[in-house]
Amino acid sequence: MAAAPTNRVQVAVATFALFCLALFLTAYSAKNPALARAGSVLMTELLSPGQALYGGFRRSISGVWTGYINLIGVEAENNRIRERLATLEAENSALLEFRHENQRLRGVLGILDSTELKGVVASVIAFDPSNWERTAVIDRGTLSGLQPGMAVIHNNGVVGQVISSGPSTSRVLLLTDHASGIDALVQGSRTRGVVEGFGERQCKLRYVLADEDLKVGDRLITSGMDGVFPKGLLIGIVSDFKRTRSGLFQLVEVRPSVDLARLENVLVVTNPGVSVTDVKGTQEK
Amino acid sequence: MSVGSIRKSVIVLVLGFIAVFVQGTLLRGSFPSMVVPDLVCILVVFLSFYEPGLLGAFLAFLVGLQFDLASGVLLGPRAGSSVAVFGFLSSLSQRIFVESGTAMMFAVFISTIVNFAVYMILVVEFRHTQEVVVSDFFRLSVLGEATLSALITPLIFLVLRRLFSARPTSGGSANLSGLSRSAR
Repeated sequence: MAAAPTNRVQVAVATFALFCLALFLTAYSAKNPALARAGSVLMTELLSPGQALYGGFRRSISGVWTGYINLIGVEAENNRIRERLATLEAENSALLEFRHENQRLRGVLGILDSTELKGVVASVIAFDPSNWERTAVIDRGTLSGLQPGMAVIHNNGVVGQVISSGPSTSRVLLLTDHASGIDALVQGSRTRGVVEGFGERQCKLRYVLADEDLKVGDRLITSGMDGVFPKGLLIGIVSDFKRTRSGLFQLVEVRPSVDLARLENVLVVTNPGVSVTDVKGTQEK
Repeated sequence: MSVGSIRKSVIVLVLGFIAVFVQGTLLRGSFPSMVVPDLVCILVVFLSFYEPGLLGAFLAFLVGLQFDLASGVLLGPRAGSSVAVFGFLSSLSQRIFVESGTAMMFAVFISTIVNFAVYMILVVEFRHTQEVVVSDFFRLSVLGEATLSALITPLIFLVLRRLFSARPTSGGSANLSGLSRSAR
């Protein structure tokens, strides 16, 4: 029986020591993110074969479902889509005219436009196992030319940013993560702010002065000023905002344009230095 | 270190790896909008009841570290919360003897919440997150996660017990409400 109290003391001391070690590791990795990223790359590379296999299996099941089983109401939906397509084609035709005129006028003013995005298509194979962090793993890495810091998009909407890359996988910090921050513009009013992640499926637009004019439904686009995201990508829509009596800034909630929960394929932008040349050759990046 | 201990350690680490894979890929990949059970926490609770010694503490730390590596943002918060949960439960497991499924479910439920609380404190402190809305997140996500984890605990424990051919360590005669002393 004398051994039992000693064992309890030993376990308590060991538990305390291990907890202190964990605290030290946390503090150290917060100051030196490379450590966590290196470990993450190793773990992700180990998990990636299973993740890729499961991803392929899930896509084939999903293909069987959408291709064969889920065909009820397809004809009615088809007719609706045809009507919508006809409307969009008419709108597109008008927009093409605007585009041609825009290019012509830009040519007259001497503005050159090189905003063609180049990138690597990747599939999302896993998400962060925790409820708190918002990261995803994609099946492309340094062998495909990816590097940390590259922007990740989906249908011209912002998804996030690559934070670590292994040879065949990369980890993406989603825009809804608390550590994410994207320099943004409100499309109509050109109001500047920073979109920060707020967990779950929400973001907040910070540093918007209280006297700035905003409305629900305003579209937020990337400003291009952070050097990561090309200018003009859609971040999200203003879903709510509040002006406080005493505060300097408004409280603005943003709903991301991309449904991050249903993400399957993304584009990693490999030419982040997309630039727009201003009048008479002045270049802004 | 005996051969048995080495074998147990390898099995636990492999199970930790599998738990991270299942949680991050199978469950979150298939049900991205839904709450998923915390399999790693269930494994830590199992260790605290069936291996409450030094080896168990070390394995709880390593299993938590595996989770941190899979997350890739900070190294250490999940290891710390796993060790905290282990320390809390192992001290109780040596005083009481529990074999009822309900008690295990209750232990996992409480542990998931404690685990999340410690994890959040470490993450918020060291990531300097400006604003943390705990109330809604806690209410919707953690309680759901804790409930789900508790519900699948009997099944997971059954599998783990068979895997380890384990019997819980015996303890004193203290009784807590809802828990019963088991005969060896």
